[in-house]
Amino acid sequence: MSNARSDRRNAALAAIDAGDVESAVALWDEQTFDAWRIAIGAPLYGREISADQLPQEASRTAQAISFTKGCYLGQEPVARIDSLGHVNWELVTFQLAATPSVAPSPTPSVAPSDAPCESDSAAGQSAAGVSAAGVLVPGAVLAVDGKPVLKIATIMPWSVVNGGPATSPGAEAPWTHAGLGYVRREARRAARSAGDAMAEGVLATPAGIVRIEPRLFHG
Amino acid sequence: MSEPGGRTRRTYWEQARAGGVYPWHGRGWLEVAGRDRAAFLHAFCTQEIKKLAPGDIRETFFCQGNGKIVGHGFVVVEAERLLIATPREHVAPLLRHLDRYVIREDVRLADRSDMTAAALFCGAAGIGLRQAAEASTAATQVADIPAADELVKLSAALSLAVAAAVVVRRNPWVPNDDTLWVEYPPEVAMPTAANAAASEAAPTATAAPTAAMTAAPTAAMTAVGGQVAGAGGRCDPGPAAPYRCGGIAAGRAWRAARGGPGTRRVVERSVGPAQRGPRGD
Repeated sequence: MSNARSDRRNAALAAIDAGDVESAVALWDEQTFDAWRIAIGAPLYGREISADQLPQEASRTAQAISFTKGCYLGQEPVARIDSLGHVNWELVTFQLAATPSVAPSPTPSVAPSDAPCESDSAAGQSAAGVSAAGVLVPGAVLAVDGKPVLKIATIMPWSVVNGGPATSPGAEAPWTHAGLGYVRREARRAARSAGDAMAEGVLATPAGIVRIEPRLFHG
Repeated sequence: MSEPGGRTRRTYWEQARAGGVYPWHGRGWLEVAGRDRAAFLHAFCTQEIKKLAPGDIRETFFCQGNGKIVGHGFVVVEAERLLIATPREHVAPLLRHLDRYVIREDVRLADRSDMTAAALFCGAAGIGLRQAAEASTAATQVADIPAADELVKLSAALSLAVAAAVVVRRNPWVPNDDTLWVEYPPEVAMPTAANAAASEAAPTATAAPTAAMTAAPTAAMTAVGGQVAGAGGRCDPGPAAPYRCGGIAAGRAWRAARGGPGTRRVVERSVGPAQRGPRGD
């Protein structure tokens, strides 16, 4: 299997070495920036993180939370979660192979700053997490057997991220979407046990097959 | 499929690795100054601010009393102040949240979002920028350095003049990523699609950078891993110095040295994980 990533990266580096920087460097727009954030699992406040979440739900615990510093505003629930419990939702990168009845969102879509993804309700959406127009949108909640398993915070058509289709594991269906979203703990645990070595796992929802990973690039 | 998920990883990362510069217009700055700034901020965020030294960068959350998030960003420690990088539209709400708790402390809060402009040099663009900066500062260790000036070419191609005060930091989300976070004076033309198109239409502009661009751009970029030279991390351009960097040899040397202990040490110091101790502490 050819290694397209390495080839392209090496080509870009060779171009820089040769002084041909312009051919190696492109100016990114918001869409590409969001695709990059999806790839490395980088949330932004007002987009994927909102006042609805606890710090541990954002999956940035190792980088952003100290458990030795002592008191601070909000420390008690944060410490209690760490020592006694767990959070029910965690931010992950996901890929979706939507069923044919679900149209890919025509444009890259993220939650607006003033209305980040809702926690429990998805007004105007069916149980499958699809809007009335049949388009997946931020705030959509994907459910399995009536139980919510994935809340979409940021979603992009796969073609925007990838420029072409990619094959889903064990199936011929291409990925149609990628994004950042909150996965329910129980669903993640079940998916992990059924998943392959590379991913956290796969969930089969009415809206399509969902593949979960903490992030696509483990720096 | 022999490599489940492999295709996915490549295609995402392929685009980022191929290189790009993102004008980070949405980056805002909240300044926390005053004698009690560290103790004050320590009491309102999840990060251990009191133990940080100038040049350190830490990701942190700001919470309400019930633990819910009211802000998220990256704390940058400077000698005379703390800076919080957070989305521009959330600087004012976070400022109001913190300001409610300033009673007798010597703390001054201010929105400094327009103090500098920001751009992210991702993938190969970040590698190119770092390569140029490190090659220029390690010139005495690299014997075979052609008289190429990749940083200037890079900046000229993007209409980004790096001759002025420029601060370079690592990717705040994933510190060991190739991405570099660049802060530069706001009066410098930000890279825009129009600028990029113009540079493509007029390649001679990139071949002949201005004198301002060539003047000692990296004298202040001696510590690419964290903040730049200067006690507070704010960059002092300093006197003009010959700027020589780049080339295949320099690039190879940089890539070979990249995994070395020196580089790793800088990474760990500049952007490290939160302190974590035994549970129940």
